[in-house]
Amino acid sequence: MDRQNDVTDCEREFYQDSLPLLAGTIAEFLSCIEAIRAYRRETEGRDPVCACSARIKSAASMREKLLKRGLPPDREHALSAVSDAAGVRLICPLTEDVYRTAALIREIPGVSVAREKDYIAHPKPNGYRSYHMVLHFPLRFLGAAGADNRLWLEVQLRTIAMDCWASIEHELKYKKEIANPELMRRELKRCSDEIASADLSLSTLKELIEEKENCFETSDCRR
Amino acid sequence: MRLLIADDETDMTRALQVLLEHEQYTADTVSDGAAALDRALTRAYDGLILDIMMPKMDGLTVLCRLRENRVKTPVLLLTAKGQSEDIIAGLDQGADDYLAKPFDPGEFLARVRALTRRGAAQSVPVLTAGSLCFDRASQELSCNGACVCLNGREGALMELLLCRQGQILSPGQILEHIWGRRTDSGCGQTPAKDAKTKEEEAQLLWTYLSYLQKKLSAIGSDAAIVRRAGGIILDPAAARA
Repeated sequence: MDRQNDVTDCEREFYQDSLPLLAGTIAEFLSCIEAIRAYRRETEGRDPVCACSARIKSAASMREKLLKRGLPPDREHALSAVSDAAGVRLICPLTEDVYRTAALIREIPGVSVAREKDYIAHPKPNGYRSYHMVLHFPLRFLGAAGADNRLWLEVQLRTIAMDCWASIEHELKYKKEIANPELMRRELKRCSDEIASADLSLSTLKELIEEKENCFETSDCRR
Repeated sequence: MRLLIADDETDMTRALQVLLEHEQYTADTVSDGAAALDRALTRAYDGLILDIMMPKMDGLTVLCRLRENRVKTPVLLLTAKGQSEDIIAGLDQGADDYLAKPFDPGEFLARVRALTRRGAAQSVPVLTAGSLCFDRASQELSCNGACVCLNGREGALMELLLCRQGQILSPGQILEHIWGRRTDSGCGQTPAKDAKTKEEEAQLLWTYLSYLQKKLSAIGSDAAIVRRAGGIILDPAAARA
């Protein structure tokens, strides 16, 4: 598992004693994912997830988000009004793995799904594709006393190809002085559509290889 | 580019075929009107060269039936001298040009070039089937806002299916149109090798049809590629059924 950011004193100061709760939520969710992956490897011979990463939103970024929404930039609002203080990203080989993994996440006992957004079926105008889930995650590790305590956890699922596009788009988005931003915007969108098309072609090939479904009688192909 | 020559004078059809093939066209030949109509309705041509006087069905009737069936393939009529009434009738019925026999080969080729140029220019930029749209220039396949890009071969295949929606296309016809003359049956090949090639071609086509079907489903299209006896068709409402 790849951790995208290191927790510094800024985050300790901002989240205070909620910080280990956020970290614990992430750890518990990831342990569920690891169990799901191990089970699928054993039963289907295939892992529906190829990489995981997680992060606790930086204090600076959280303050900025709360202020933008006109909310006080404090811990209470960070945990109640914003759903991505704790975030996990799961990278899957193919599109159907994304949907299959999302279905498995919905079945994790005690976890409720507050919101889902399918940016794969309905990409953002810039070409962004991912599947987003906001989970209401019980803090089981606090024991009976904390049984009603829950934290938000945002999960993003996408394919390797979609992740590749999102990483490059994120990098380019923050570049200053691009000569022709409109052209770049259009071309990034086009690349995203082509990548989505290649993803679907790869899924098709996988199905054809696994099903070995054929096709036409060879006599049909005579001209 | 693929053309059909329909003329009962076999020397004439052979000469025109050689002439066109020398200019890198692919030319099929038939010797009567009924065969011409059958071919033009079931195969994708870039242009038709129809003689007016033909057995079984004359060229004007062939033309008339094609336009009734909304086949808009450009047509060059070949006429004998002095058939001005036929020329007028032919042009009124939707022929694009005519040429009176005997003609100069250079003029014939120039008219074929003009014919196929017009055909390409008249092509609609966006092909549709219900809510499904295919933009020929950008190769984008879209449906109610969802969109996916097709690559060259997929785009050509989608275009063929959309142009011929409702018609059953045999695998052989599709292979010929999209991949050109990949193999001439048995020509210099052993039967085993030929059978292997046929199998590979069938697999290739099936793979591309599967790509398209997956992409049609992904954008939520009601149109689907459906197998029927003798081939496949694009059914604009199959996924709704």
